[in-house]
Amino acid sequence: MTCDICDGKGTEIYKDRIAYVYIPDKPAAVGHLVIAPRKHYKTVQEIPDDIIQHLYFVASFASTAVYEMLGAEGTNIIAGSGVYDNSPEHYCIHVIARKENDGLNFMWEPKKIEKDKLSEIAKKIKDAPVVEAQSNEVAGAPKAELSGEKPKEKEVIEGENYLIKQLRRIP
Amino acid sequence: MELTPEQKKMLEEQKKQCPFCQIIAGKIPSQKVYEDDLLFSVTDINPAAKGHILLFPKEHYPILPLIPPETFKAMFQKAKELSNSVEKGALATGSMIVVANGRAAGQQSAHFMLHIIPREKGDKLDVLNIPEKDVDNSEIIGPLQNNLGIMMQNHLQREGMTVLMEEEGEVQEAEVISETEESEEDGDEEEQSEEEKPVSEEHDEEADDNEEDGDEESDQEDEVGDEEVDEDSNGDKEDDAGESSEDTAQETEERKGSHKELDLDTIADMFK
Repeated sequence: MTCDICDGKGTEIYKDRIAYVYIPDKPAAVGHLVIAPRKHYKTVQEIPDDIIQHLYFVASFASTAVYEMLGAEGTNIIAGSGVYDNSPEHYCIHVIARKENDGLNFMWEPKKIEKDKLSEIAKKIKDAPVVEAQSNEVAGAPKAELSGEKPKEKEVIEGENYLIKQLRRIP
Repeated sequence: MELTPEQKKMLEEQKKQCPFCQIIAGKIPSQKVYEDDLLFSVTDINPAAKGHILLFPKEHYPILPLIPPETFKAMFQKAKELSNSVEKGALATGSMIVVANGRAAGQQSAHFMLHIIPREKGDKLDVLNIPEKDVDNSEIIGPLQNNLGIMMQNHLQREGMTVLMEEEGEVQEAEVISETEESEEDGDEEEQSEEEKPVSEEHDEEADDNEEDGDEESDQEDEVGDEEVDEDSNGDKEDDAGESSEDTAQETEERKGSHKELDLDTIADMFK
């Protein structure tokens, strides 16, 4: 399998054991960074919680960095997962500095959806089967219920726990 | 997270008029799909597609950097779960997480939120795909490497996650920067270097541990990065326009003086 991102494409900005941050070869703007997990994941569901959280921390700092450095008027943080037209093969989070009239537009045309259809889809989303939550503390921690309360936790990432959690995870 | 009294007052005013705070309080009707102690999620009334939902903290935070770490982590963990729920509920083959910080980026409400949007082939939502252009970013490479490196070092230290850092090469990079800054800049530089020194010392110990575990790849890349950083480090100072609108005079001054360290530290401090 050849994957550009796994091979380390683009201009490297930051790298740690989890995340790889680079400027893409064809950036959409000045101040366009991509944050990708070093391990190859295609969909967001398959990424362990700790890794997702770390990736988005990196994305948040990257967003602050480009915003300040360029005196931008805003930033977008956009990540796509799964299959759709031009969907990415390797999960990545795009951070893009924005200014008025910069020639970029990510705003969609709002669709008109009837109220009963909205409540119908809301129910389906609420009742959808949950991806098992991965927590750091104790093995066999309770599954997070969709409507239930989530306990506040202090989380520390350790190398060993990743592997243990991966084994426990139900796809 | 400590806000100044002025900032708190401004936030209080914002909260009173915030439609999302009122949705959470039940004063404005909505289609809720999730709620817990920290987070709230509803369907978007101006959706990109059927199944488009919004996820936001119950507490009113205008922008992402102001969200405390616990809430931040809970939110993105939940965003992953809800992405799955959205795909299942909308029978979609994909989904996107979209954040808009600032009006120029499409932020329409002062209450921070993220969008989870179902995607599938032929959905005509190409507007959400990232275009490929030919824009020159070469000038910001060095400063970005420097700034982001420092931000991440500080963050990982605070969170007790320095094990995530790679190898000794990166640690040395940080030390080199602090020496450079002492010789080149005025004023608050002493403050800055004092802060960095203890950080560097701690890192030496950590680096020894990391060396045993880590890969031995990118030393060469790190060395190249050092050179670029030294040359470009002055360029950052002037780009301090950013988020000052909510800062007090004191914070603005701190930020002006030592952009790379204190400024990012101030923001990282907001995470405490």
